[in-house]
Amino acid sequence: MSTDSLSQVFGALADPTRRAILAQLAEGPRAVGELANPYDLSGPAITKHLKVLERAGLVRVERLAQRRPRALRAEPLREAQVWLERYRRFWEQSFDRLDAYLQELQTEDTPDA
Amino acid sequence: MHDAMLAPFRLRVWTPSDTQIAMERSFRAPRELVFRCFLEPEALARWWGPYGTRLRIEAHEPRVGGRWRFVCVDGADEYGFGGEFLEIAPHERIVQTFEFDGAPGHVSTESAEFHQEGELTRVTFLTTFANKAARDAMLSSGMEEGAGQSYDRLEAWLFEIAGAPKFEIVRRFDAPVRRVWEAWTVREQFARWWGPASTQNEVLEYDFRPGGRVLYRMVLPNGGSMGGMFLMREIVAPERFTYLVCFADDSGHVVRAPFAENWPLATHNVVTLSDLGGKTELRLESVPLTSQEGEAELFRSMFGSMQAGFGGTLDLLQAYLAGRE
Repeated sequence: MSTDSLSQVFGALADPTRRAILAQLAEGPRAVGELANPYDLSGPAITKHLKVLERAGLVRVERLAQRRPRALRAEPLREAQVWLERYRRFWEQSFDRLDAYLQELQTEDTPDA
Repeated sequence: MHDAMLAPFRLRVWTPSDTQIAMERSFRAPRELVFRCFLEPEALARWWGPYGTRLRIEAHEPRVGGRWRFVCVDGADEYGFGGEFLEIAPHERIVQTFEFDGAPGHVSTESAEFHQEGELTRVTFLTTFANKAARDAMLSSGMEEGAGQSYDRLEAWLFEIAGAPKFEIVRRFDAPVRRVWEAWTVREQFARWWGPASTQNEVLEYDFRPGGRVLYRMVLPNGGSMGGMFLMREIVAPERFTYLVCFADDSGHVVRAPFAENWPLATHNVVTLSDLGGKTELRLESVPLTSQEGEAELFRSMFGSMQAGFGGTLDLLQAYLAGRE
């Protein structure tokens, strides 16, 4: 994933309404009208959120029916999760190395038997 | 380059007239919270005074006509200050007189004004002296550095109490605190372990002192590289240090994170070492400092509400994917 699209994915996920929309779509495709209901948002407001999600590649438009329901695309989320784990690993790896270094010092300290 | 983004989080000092000193700094915290930290003794004890000092409050009556007297303890040295409250406008303004034990009879008047600006609170300080000589004496006393350090400590305290989303890592090491402390604070030792194993890491500059900076570069297996910088703040050996982390070029200019446009330009970090009977527990806490649009939200979405928000979404997603297999 390019840095731009990763940024878009995290940007899209940063909003609680958009996360709630994704959670709904995880249960199955939904028409725009069905999505608007729980959030007390106008149709245009929901459409705006959906556009952000579509740009991030998290939502696609199903062409099957007249209703053109929205469906979840999971791949970018999976990559975002990989990236998050990598960020945590960045620190963990450093601390693993610190651990190893400290062990080395301890060994040097121990006088030979 | 984005060096200017850090400017609000440094103390700016100027002289609006021959008898005045003005200072300004912003904090990423609500105005009410910042205001309270100027009046509540528990908070004042955590930040009032330069790095490494301790505060003894001998009098504190925050009402018009009330007295205040603070003693700043720096090792064996003590510095006393005191005065009287002239005005307290909740969340907006505090005006008081100020007198230093070392210059008895020289009374100045100082005000602090609190302005909420989005997620930031900007505080403006104005001190008016009896004459130019008194003002100049204060300017040459190192007061700028001392005040700057004091407000850095306030910032750290605000992050501690604000309940802001944090990225947090706790690790235990089978080595005494002194060893772990040296592994951070001695260049040769730091260079031995800092950075991921998957990158070639190089320490370019290393000044692990209050106000100093540490500059490093990580070269990725694919040949790309990523630079970073610590800007050191308070260092209390051997238990705690505070620093900002930025992505940076080789000359130490702040740059955007290479992996995400909205990653905060700077994070505020505290490392605390605790002695567990010969072993050491290390705690690293990180919060976003800069607050350009989307930055804090991005950080929050990633770390702050992992369980309730983003993490919850991923759980649902995993269930969804499992259901399709």
